[in-house]
Amino acid sequence: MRLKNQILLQINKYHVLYLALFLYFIWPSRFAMVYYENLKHDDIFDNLLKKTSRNSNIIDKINCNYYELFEKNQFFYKDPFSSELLNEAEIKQGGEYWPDNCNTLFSVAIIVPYRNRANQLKLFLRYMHNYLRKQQIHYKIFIVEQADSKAFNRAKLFNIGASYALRENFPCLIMQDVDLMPLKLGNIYACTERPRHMSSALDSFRFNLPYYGLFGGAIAMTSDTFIHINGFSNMFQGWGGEDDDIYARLVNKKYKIIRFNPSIAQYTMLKHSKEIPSPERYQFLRSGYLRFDTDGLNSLVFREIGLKSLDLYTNILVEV
Amino acid sequence: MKKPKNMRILSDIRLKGSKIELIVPLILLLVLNLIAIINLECCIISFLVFPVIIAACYIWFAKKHSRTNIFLALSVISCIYIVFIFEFTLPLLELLPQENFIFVTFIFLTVYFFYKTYNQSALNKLGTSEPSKETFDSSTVTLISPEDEDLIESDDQDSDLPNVRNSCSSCKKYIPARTFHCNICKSCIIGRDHHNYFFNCCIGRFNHKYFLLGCLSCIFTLLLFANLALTSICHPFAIFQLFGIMFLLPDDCSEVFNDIEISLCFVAAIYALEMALVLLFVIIQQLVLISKGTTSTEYCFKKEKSLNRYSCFRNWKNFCYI
Repeated sequence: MRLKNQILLQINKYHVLYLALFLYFIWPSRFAMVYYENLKHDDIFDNLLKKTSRNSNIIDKINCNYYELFEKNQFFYKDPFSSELLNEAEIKQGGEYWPDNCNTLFSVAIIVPYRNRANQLKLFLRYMHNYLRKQQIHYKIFIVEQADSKAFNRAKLFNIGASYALRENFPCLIMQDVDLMPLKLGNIYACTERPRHMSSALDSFRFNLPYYGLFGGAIAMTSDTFIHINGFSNMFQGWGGEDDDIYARLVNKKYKIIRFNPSIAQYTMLKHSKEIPSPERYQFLRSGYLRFDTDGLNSLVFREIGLKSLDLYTNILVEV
Repeated sequence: MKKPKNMRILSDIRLKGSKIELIVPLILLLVLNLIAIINLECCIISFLVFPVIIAACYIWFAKKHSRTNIFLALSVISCIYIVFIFEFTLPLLELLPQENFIFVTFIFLTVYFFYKTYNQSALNKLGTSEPSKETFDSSTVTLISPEDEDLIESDDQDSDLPNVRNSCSSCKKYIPARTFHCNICKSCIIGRDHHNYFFNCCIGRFNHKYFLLGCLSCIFTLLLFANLALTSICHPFAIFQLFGIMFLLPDDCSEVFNDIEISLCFVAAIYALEMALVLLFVIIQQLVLISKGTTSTEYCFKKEKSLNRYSCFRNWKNFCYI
């Protein structure tokens, strides 16, 4: 008891200050996530939504085998695949592909917003066509290009791309930035029932996840989910905010997001100068919940300038 | 160079020295950092100038044999500077809590070891550790300079010849073997290695261990800081993976000077790397000398007989169990 009193007496305000400083230094929420809910190699295939948009000849072919993909989880971002486009003839007009020798289980529309980054687009298409064909999925790449000189509206371009993809009955939408490249082959471009954040181990974030609610970069969700949450907000102009807004929309409709294991979900980000964040983004974000049902896919207004079916992609040129 | 972060040392500086000795290194560091964050050329120039200024100061003070708190203040400020940059300006959301914990732990270890180095230095001084044994009537002694080679033969640990005694001309008293006078501390130092301006004390028998441990943990902290800072502000790549932990290195730092916070982190990382480079030389020198069973002072006086007394292993054993 006496000893206890002595110890108590020795504590002065400096000790409290040191302790506060130490606690602040090791406070966990200032840092990246140590652990987050993720799907391991073995569980991925069972969780995928097996649905296609094409009624191909199902009878005469067997289903494609995907086990090797997850088993090997090969590192794919290396020389022949990232530097040149292999077997270009396999790719159909409009940047579409499905495997001919087996019956694929997944149909995916890949929607990429784009403006003025011709060099990155070239690298992206070259690598992604090599990468996605290896995964034996049916996919189509939509490049949604903003034609006007207003601030880049990433969210609205996603909505536009999604509306085109929904017309072609794609059951799964993947929304990705043009500067992101998946590194591992196991990161299959297909949807899980739960909305999926695909780029959870991004190299420019040191392969860590900064916070649980991060839902930007590359995301995958089923068309039903996308329609249910009313898509992205159309209001976010300039850089930032729209990814947090769509996460809020998902939470609002009681969806829980899922991620793949960090050893699978590795992405690399191509070099480019950082955009200046839009100053109004917090304001829109804070009032975002008021517009969940009114602002989005159902209030989408845009002007189509051109819809071109090119060799490697479908180009949707729009004014937002 | 090294960094004891302790309020007592800070207050020592304030009380003993004038405030200028604290302000000069602070301003030097601030000005050089402000120049360095402008662009790459300024960064290179300021980091070439910085060690030159420090080395010039060091040589000047070493020639004058005078005590100064400038270097001690510089070590303390550097430590606070690096901790501040790490905890407040680095994009911490990209770092794991474990990495921060390791960094904070090693900062505390480094400070503890260097504080111990500073604290234990008083034990090295002859007269404070063994006063009764070593005080001797100076008038009866024929003075022999410690530079005299032939007389410093016996290691005091296993000395069979108690009659052969050395003495110090400045203190006018008998000294045990391997003891040298320090003009800055104005005292004889047992097992003197060198006088360290960065802690304002001599490195001798009783704090040599702590000094080496401090240097090792300091270089680890600095390299860890530089790696964490550069990989989080630059574009990193994974070199290898061990037990699920990825080891990253930066590969493209071309855009660090666009943003002021990022360039502050970059400059701090380069500063840490520069200090680590200097420390690396110190550590290599220490390791070689300890393996040979000698100290810097003995090596400077070219005591060939003091080299390779025992095997390397025994030298390290002697060093560790004092």
